[in-house]
Amino acid sequence: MDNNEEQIISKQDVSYVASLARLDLNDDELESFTVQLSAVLVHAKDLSSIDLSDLPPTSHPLALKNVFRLDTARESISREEVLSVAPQRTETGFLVPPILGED
Amino acid sequence: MQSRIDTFKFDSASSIASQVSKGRVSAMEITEQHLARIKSLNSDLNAFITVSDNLARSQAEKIDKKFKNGETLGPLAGVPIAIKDNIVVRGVETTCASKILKGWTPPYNATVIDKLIEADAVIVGKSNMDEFAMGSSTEHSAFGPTKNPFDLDRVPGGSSGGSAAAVAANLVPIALGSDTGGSIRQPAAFCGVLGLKPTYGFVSRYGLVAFASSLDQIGPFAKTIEDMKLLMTVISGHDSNDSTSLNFETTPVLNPSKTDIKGLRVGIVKEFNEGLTSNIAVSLKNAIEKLQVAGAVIEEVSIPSVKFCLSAYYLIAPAEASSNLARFDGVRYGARENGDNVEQMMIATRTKGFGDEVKRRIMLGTYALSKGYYDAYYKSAQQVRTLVIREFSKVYSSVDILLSPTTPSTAFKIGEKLDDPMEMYLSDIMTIPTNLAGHPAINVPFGSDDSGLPIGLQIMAPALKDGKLLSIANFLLSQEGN
Amino acid sequence: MEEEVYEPVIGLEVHCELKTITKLWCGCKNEFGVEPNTNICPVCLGLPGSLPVLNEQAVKFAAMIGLALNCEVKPSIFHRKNYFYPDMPKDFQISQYDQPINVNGFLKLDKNVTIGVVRAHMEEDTGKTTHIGSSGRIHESSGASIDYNRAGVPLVEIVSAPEIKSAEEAKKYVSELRAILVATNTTDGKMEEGSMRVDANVSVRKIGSIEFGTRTEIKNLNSLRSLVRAIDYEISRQINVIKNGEKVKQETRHWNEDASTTVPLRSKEEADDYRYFPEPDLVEVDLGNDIVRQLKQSLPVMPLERRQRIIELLKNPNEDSAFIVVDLDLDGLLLEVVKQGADAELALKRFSNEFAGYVEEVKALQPERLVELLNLEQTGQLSATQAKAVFAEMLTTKSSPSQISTGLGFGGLEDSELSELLKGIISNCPNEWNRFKDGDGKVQQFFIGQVMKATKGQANGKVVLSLLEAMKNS
Repeated sequence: MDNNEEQIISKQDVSYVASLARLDLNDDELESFTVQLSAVLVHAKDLSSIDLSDLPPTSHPLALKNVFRLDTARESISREEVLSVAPQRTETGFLVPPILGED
Repeated sequence: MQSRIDTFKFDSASSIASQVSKGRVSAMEITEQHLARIKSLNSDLNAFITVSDNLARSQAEKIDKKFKNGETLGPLAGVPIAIKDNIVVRGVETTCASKILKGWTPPYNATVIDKLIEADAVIVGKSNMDEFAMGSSTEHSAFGPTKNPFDLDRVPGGSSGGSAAAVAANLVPIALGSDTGGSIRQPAAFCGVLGLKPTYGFVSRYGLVAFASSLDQIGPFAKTIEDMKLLMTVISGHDSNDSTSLNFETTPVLNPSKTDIKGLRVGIVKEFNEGLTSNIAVSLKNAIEKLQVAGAVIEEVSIPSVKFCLSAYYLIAPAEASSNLARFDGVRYGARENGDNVEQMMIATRTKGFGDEVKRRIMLGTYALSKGYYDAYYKSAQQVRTLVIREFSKVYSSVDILLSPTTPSTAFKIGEKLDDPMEMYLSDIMTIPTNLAGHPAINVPFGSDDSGLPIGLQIMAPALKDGKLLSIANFLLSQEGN
Repeated sequence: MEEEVYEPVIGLEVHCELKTITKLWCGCKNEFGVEPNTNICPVCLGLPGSLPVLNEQAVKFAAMIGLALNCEVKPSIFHRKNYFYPDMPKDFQISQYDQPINVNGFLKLDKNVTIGVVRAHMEEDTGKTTHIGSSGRIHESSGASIDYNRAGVPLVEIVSAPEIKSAEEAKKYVSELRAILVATNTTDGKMEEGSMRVDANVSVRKIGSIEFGTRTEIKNLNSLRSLVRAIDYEISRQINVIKNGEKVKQETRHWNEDASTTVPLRSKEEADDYRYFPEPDLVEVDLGNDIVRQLKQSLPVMPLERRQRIIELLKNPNEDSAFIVVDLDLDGLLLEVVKQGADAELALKRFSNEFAGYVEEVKALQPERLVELLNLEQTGQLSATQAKAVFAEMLTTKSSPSQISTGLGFGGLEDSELSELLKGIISNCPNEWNRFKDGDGKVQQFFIGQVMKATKGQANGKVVLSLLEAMKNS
C-alpha cells in the first residue's frame, strides 16, 4: 500500500461508523481498519475526476416498474419452527435483554 | 504442487440424469458414489461446509421410488449438486461461512432449491465460500479456506470457491454459486470449470442471502455446456417472490436460433488488456485466432468507464451490504453474545460473529451512505453505473459479444493477498463491470499457465443473451488445446 | 402576561395502518389481536434470503388517501431507513423518502381553516415489544419479548405542514383526518388499538416572528385527550424554558399520561443518521393516470361536504351534532327522513343523541317509521319522553310508532282529563298560580312538572302550556 497517500478517513470517522454499524473495535483494529478503508476511499477518489452532472443515478440494472402482489392471504409458517432456532425465546415470542430508552 | 485432479471417471449431469431416468443406475447408487468421493476428498479440499447426506439419501430414495412407480423423472434425475452456503435449504444449516449464522436451519427453501427438488436433483451439501460472499479467494470463511484442486497451496478463487472446487475435483458434476462482482466467474477461472453469471433477474434471488441486492445473481458451475444449459433451464425463470425477477419465456433465451461463429462480431476490450500475465495474454490471443479462423470478426473496442468500475463497485456493494447485514443482530436466529441490554447484546454478537472482511465492508458501506458523504460516494457510484450501462450499450451496437480474460492472473497462493484488501479487490477488475450493467458473462477454461494452473476467458453479452454465451463458450471449449 | 407573546407552531405526523387483508410485502394476514407470532413468514421476519413484494391493494389505498387529502399522486420509490431496533426484523425500515407517492395536499377543517398536507407516504410497521419483569419500569425489567405479527403491516404516514396553531386545532385536524380516512374505507382509525398513531412536532416562537423555534417531537399520543394535554403541556414547558433564558433542545419526548408530562427519550448522537438509500429489492411504483383517475372517482363524498349538506337544512347550524351523525354514517338516513317531511332540527337532535347509540338498529328501520316518530313528537302528539319510549320499542318490535304509542297508552290523555288535573293542581298551589297570572314565566315549568309527575310523564308539555294559557285568559 502506498503510504504517501493521504488518509481521507480518520480514526474518529471509523469509530463513528463502527458505532452506527453496531461493531466494537479495539485499538489495533481501529488502526488497521482506518488504513485499509482509507486505501479503498483513496482509490474511489478517481470517481471525482468524471463529469457526472448529466448522469442520473442507477439503482437497478433493469428498469422494471409496478411489480405487485395481489392482496390474498396464504398460510403463515409455524411459530415453533422459527422460535426453536431463536437464540432465546419465551413461550410465544423472541426474548431479548432489556431495551433501554423507552417505557 | 499437490493436486487433487485425478482420473476419477467423470460423469456429466446430463449423462447421470439420462441413466437414472432409464433405470440403468439408481439415484441412490449415484448419491452414495458421490458422497463417498466427497468424504474421501473434502478433508483436503474443504469444499463443503455441510454435507447433507441425510437429505441427499432421502431425496435419492424418493426419486428411485418415483421411478419404480413408473413416474417420469425430472430433467436432473439423481444428479448430485452442491449449493453455495448462502442459498437456503430448508432444514439444512445455512451459515454463509459466518460464525454469526452458526446453527441456523432455515424454515424455507430458496426458489432455486424448490426448482432443483422438483427436477429430481440431489442436494449433497452446502459449499464453502467467503463469509457472506465477500472475497475473491474463499479464505474469508469461518470454516477455513477451500483449496484449489489443481494446487492445494493455492486459493480456488471466490467467493464461490467451494462450488468451483467441488466441480473441478469431480465431487459433483454441477453446483450453484452466486456472483456479485465475479464470485462465480473468477473461481471458475481459477479452478478450470465453466461458470455463468446470468442476466440480472434471470434467476430468482429469493432465498439467496443478500450481499448486494442490485448486483447478486445465482448461477451455475459445470464442466460441459450441455450441463450448464440443463441447470439453467431448471433454475431460471420468473418468480413472483422476487420483485426484480424478469417475466418472460426462458426457452428462447437459452436456445437462440442463430449461434454461428461465422460473422460473429467479437469486441476485445482495450482497457482489459493492460497488465496481463504473458500466459493469459497468449490464451486470449489463441482464442481470438480460433474465432477468426471460424469466421468471427474481431474488433478492438474501448469502454473507458470500466476503469472506474472497481471504485463504483466497492462503494455500491458495501453500501447495500451494510444494510443487508444489519439483520444479523442476535435477536431472531443464529449466534448471540450476552449483553446487559439489547444494544450491548447486538454489538457483542456482531463484533464476535463477523469476520474482518465483512466488518471492513460493512464499515465502508456505512460510511458511503452516512450523512454528508452520500452524494460524494454512493450517489457518484450510482451515476458511474449509469455511465457504464450507456457505454456498454454503445459498444454492443457494433459488436455482438465481448471477450476478455476473466482474471488478470491465475490462482494465487493462500495467504498471499490476505493482508492487503485493495490488492485482493483488484482481482475482480474484469468481472465487476457486467455486474454493474446487469449483463450476463461466462468463464470458459482456455489453456493453462506454465505451472499448469487453469486460465479462464470471459465472454460478455447484452442482457438476455445468456443462451448465446453458452453457444459461443461451447465453440471455445471445443477449440481448447487444439 | 408574558406567555402571550409566544405562539405555538404544531405539525402532526399521523401513521395509520391500512385495512388490507395481508401485509405490505407478504401474504401473511394483517390482523389485530391474534396470538403472538402466528402471522409470520420468512419475509416479514426478515429471514436471510427473503425478499419483499409490494401489495397492490396497499398502493391503491395509499393513493386513495392521498387523493382524499387533495394530494398529487406521483411515481414513487421506496428507500431503506437504516437503524437498529429489535422490533424491526431487518434492522431497517422500508419507507418512502424523497419520492413519496402523495405530495402537496391539504385538509379543510372548516370553511375558514385549511391545513397543508406536505406528503402522505407508504412504509412498513414494526413488531411489538412486551417488557418482562417484576415491575413495568424499564430499568427493573429482565427483558422483552417480541411479537412480529405487526411487522410489515402497511402504513401511510401523513405529514401536515407546521400550520396548526393550538392543541384544540390539532385535535380538530386529527378528528377530521380520521373521519376522512374512515370514509375512504382504507383504515379503521382506531387510536386505542394503535391503528392510528399521532406524533406531534411542537415549537413556540414570539408572535410576529417568521422563523420557527426549535421543535420537539412528542410520541405516545394514544388518544385525542392525550394529544391535547401533551401539546398544551409541551407548549408551556417550552415557553418556561425560554423564559428561564435556556434553549429548547431538539429531541424526541415521550408523553407520560399518568404523570401528565413529556420526558425526553434517550437520544444518541447518531440517532438521525439513517443512511437512506433506494431499496434495491423493490422497483418503481407508477399507477398511471387512468388508475389514479379511477381511484379518484371511487372516493366517497368527504365528511366536510356531508356535514355541510346537513347544516344547509338548519336554521341554527350545529357543527358538533352534524359531525357525530356523519361520523356514525347516519347522515344519509337523516337527509332521507328530512326529505320525507321530518323537521331537520329535531331530526338532527335525535340522530346525534338518542339514535346515536343504536346505529345498526336505526339503519335497519324504514325511514318512513322514523319520519312518523319525529312528526308525532314535532306536533306534540308525543312528549319527548314518550317519543323516546316509542323509539326504544320500535328497535325491537319494528311496529309503527303510532301503534306502539297506543299500545303504551300514550295519547290516551284527553285535553279534558288534563284540564281536570290542572284545576286540582291550581287549587292546591294558589301562590304559584297568582305568580303565573302576573306573568312570571318561570312558574310554567312548575306546573308542567306537577302534571308530568301526576301522569308519570305521559302528558305533553306543549299541550299543558296551552291549557294553562287558556285558563289564565278565561
